[in-house]
Amino acid sequence: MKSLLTIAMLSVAMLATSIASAADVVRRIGQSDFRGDIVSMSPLVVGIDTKPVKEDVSVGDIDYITYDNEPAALSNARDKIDNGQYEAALEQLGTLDIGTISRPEIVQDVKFYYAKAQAKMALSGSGDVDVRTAGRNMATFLDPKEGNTGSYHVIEANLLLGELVAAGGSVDNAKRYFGEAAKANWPTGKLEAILGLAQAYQRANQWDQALPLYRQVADAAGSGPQIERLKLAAQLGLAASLAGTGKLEEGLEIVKKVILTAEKGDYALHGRAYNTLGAAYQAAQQPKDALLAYLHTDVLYFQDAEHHAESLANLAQLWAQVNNPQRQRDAEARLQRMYPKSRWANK
Amino acid sequence: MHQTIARSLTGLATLRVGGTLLAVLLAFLLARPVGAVEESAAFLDALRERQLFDYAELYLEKAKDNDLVDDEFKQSIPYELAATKVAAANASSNQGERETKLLEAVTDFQAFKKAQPKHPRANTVDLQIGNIYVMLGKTRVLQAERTSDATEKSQFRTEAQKFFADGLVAINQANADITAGLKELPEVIPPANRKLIQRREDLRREYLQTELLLAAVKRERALAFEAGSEDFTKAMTEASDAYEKLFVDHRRRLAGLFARLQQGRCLLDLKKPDDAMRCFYELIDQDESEEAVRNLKAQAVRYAMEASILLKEFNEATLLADQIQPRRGEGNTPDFIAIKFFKAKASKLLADSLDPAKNKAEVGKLTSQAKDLATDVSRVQGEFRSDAIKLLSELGKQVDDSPREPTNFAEALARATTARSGWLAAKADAAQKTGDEQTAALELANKSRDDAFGFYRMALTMADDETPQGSLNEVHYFMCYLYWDEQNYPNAAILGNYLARNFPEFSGSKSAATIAMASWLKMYSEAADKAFESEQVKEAARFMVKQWPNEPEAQDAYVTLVNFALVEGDSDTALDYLQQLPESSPKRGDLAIKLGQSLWSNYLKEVRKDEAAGRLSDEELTAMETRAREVLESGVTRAQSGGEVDRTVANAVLALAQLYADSSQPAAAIRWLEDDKVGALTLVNSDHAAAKHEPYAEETFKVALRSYVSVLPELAGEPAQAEATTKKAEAVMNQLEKTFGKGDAERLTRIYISMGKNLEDQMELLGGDTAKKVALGQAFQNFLSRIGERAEGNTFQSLTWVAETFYSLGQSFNTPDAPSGQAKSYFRKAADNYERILTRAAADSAWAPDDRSLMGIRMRLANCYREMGELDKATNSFVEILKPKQGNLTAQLDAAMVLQERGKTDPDFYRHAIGGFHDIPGKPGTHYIWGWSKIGKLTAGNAKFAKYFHQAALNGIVCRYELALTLSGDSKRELLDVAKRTLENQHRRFPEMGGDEWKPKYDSLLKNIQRALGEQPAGLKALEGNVASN
Repeated sequence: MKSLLTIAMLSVAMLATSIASAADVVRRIGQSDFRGDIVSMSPLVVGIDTKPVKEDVSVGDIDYITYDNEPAALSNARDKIDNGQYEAALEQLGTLDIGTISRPEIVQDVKFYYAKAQAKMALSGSGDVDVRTAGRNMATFLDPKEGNTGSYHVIEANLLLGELVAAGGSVDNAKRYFGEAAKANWPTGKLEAILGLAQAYQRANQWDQALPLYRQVADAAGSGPQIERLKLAAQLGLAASLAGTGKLEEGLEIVKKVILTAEKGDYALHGRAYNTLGAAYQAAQQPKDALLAYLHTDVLYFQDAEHHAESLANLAQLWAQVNNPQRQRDAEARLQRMYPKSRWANK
Repeated sequence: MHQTIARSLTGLATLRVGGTLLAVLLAFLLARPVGAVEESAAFLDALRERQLFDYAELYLEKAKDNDLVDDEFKQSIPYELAATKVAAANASSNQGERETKLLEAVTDFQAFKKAQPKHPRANTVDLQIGNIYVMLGKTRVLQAERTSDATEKSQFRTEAQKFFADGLVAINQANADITAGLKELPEVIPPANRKLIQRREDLRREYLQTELLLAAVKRERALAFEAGSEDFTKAMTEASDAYEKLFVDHRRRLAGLFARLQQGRCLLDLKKPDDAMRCFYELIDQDESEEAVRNLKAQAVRYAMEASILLKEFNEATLLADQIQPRRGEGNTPDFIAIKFFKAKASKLLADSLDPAKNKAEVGKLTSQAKDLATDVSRVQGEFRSDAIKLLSELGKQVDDSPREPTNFAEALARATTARSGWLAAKADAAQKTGDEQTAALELANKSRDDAFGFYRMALTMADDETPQGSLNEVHYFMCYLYWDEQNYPNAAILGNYLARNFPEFSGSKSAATIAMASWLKMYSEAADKAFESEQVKEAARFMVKQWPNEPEAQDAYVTLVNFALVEGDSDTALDYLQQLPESSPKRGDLAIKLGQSLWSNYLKEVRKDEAAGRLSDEELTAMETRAREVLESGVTRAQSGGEVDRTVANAVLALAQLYADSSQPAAAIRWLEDDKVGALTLVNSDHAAAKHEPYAEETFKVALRSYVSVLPELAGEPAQAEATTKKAEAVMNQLEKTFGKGDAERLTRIYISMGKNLEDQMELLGGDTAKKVALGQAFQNFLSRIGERAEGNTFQSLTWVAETFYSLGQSFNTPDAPSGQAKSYFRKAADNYERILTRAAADSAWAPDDRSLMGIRMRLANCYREMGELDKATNSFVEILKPKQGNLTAQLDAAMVLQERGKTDPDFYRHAIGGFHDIPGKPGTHYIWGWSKIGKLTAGNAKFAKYFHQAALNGIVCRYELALTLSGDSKRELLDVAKRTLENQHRRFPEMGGDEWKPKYDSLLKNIQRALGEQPAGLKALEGNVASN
């Protein structure tokens, strides 16, 4: 989640855009924007003529692109997605008639953001779309016949599709899409793809396949907030895989280190870490310790829907295990109410 | 001034009256210091907020060794544990549980402060403790208000006083600590030292708040006294003075104004309305632009109106109402409702004070105003509704006071609660009354209970998705309780079970589970076929021990499970549950004693089994014996530790003495008999209350006598001690005679006979230890001879005991084929003594208790002859016994057996054994001794005599078989065929063949017959196919 400061700066930047209003803008992560005309676009590089200089920007450095005269609904939808308001984003995008949009990049963006909003909702179980439907929509976006193969969103689309099919239970297909995503030529892109695949294996309890991939990410070279975050996530996966293979103590040590290292306010990472801790204790037949771990996610780090849903599902199961049917029902009811489409609610 | 007030608003902006005041003050004082809120603290707070108190405690327990928890938090764990208990107590609706948790929290807080006096939170410990005591005190005040029992009321008030006093001590201590903290600060703090300045501000604020708190608790304490009493006046004056001091010291701050208002209330309570008015006016004159001041002003107006009415200044009271006007939405708040009510009351009183003839218009206006205002008030549920209705009635306007039908869950629940309170009150009332008054009270109680049921049911139908689960649980819990009271046990059990299993963390669930279990127990006790109810009781109990293993309620469940396991003869399960029962449980002693006795009984059963019947190995038997003794001793030790010797301890001690006596450890038995404090004999001799129940003394004397005699072989080298012990045995005999010899001679005889049987059992337990058996036999012989031969003091009973004991000794040494010399010798002595008894009885008809007793002696004598192989004498004896009455079945059975035994030497007697012996003169074909055939015919078809029937049938066939063996050729074969057919016939008629006791014997006999006939010895198996084909 972006900090308030970042959001404020973005608002200022958007204001500036509307004033200038006659250029494409490439927003880069942690760097200054490029303003000019998009002259080339591929899944790996975007070329922008800033007049007089033409800049080739690695997709890995791009936060997002706004286009000259793009529909306001697209801008709004992009903001909504950035803020996790997927349903509202879909509403905005639903107002657009792509038949009336002439610029192909804008059409690609509309299609991608639509598929992305659906994917995010399906993965968190918060909307009406399930992971299979969302996966089909994302696959359509990536279908060469659809004409989006040159979009700068292709890598991200493959990552999302990998996650969707993994959530749908197909590790082999996930492997294919994460493999496509791994074609990214920037470090975080590759690592995200490896991490995604590792998580797919973990989800299928294929610990032995997951372990080396997690290690690969955890031990990757490079630094910076993005990479550090991926490394911490990989360490959590590593911990879960170790616990899954019976190396509980080793796994617990890693999770605890992640928790101690994670920045305060990084709710998603904390949520994932405590869920991992819970899973490790569950594997070790220590239901009360597992309950305490999942309760951390439930009462403190509930902001990330996926992790919260996971904690609720496990809490329901654990409460039943320790003979507390009321709490079990409470956790189940909250899970169904808050995340009815979540894979956790439908397990 | 208002700027000053505004500065002091912090922490006081929302102050209200009564209990809320205390809660608000404490909330500010006890808040966790800013900056110390870490993730652990946030997690803990969240768990408490969700009422997951058990997991909050678990988290704290585990936090000690949790790497993720920082050291600062770890240091505060004991404090947080105590605070968690307080939170759990406040969330609990179970009064007992709440108090227990609160008092535990006090202990925990104290321990924390003692261990970590410098901890930043140590200075709030006393406030926490004070808070707890105040809560407990207020609970007692409420209980006092609710009870109609004067003694109980007084007791509650006394307890409330104690709690408030303890609360004041704790808060005073907190205040002293804060004062000390202030004194530690330098007199002048440089402006640059912001931290120290902040510290001083904090301490000053805390000081003021504790001062307010002290005054508030003093007022609560005063209210716990009976209004108007000397104690009340003294305590309320103290509270008033405390508030006055606060006002004087802080008159320019909100706290000062608040104190003034409270002082006014105290003065009003003291019936000093003039003084109170002065206080209230201080607030009424305030500008109300500050919200907090406005709140105080509204309250001041309300109380000032009340004071004016007391002063009979009714006009002033109505004018006071205009001092503050409700804003939008304030009209029905408690203060403005109160103002409206007092204005109505003052208007009415003012109207009453006027002469209607001279002030008709004014009176009409005031009356109309009073009616309008009172009507408004009567429409709002609250403190003044009923007073308003009463006022309207006085004003001539009738209001339907009957509560309207509930329209939602909350209203239905409220009505149910009221009805339930009425039910409880009526029940309490009924308990105090007798006769018709009691009947009337009980009828009222039942009516209230029915009403409560109705409203609870109504509440359930009105529940929706928004209805809190806790409220639904409350409804179900009370319905469960009401069902129990109504003796509707099935419904009580079902509801209790539902709550316990579905909502185990609901505070009433433990009680509900207990009700469910108790209901099933009731149904169990009333059921004919108990199988289903038994399983339900156990299921309910098993659930309780699994769900709340360490809670007091689970103890009853453990007791139930142990008892049921004992009833079912499952000692292993009983022992398992006993071991799960918490060590601290007071029930453990009783159960261990019961179980120990059961284990001992099992051991005895096992040790008496034939080896052929699968008796356990010696090692296993020893283990059984040890376990029984250990469990029993643990029970006694635990029961003893209670300090007082009650019936349980007394029973257990006696059981242990019996156990040791049975297992031929008489010295140990004597120790348990003679123990200075708990010895069974000591208790009987001192006429202890714990030993007065039947048949305690009897059993004690029996085991004492047996132990004293049994220990004699161990004293062979110590003649003096042996003599002393023999005298003790004699003394016990005399006590027996003295205690039971008067008026109930038959009982004494029974006691003596059972003592002989006990000795026989004891000898049996010695098994193959011949040396011990001989020594024990000798000891008894010596003692019995001494008793038997004493010149004076012998009675029919004592001689019977001597004879019986010799007889038992004879049995102990008896062998299956022929009596040993030792056995014969004992039977001889027994016979001598029986003969002496008969001789003496013949000489003195009053000496023996009755003919029946003498008949028993004669039969024993006949059996002595039989045991000694003097079968003709035995036969004659039985004929003499049966001459006057042939229907003596025991004698007939024994006599037939004697004839059968005579068959061994004279085969013709096998025929007599079957067909009878010794013709009855004048009655051809009839005999004094019936024989097996007639016994069989007379006992057939009567379940009561089934045992004798099979004994007769089997022995009849045995006689035929034995007789056949003495023959040869066709005669032999023919008779063997008869024996076989008779047995087959028996099998056709009674396929069960007498069950486990007789069937193996029939089987063995048939095999012998089959062998003798040259057939395959298949036994009964050969017949079972026939039965099936038939």
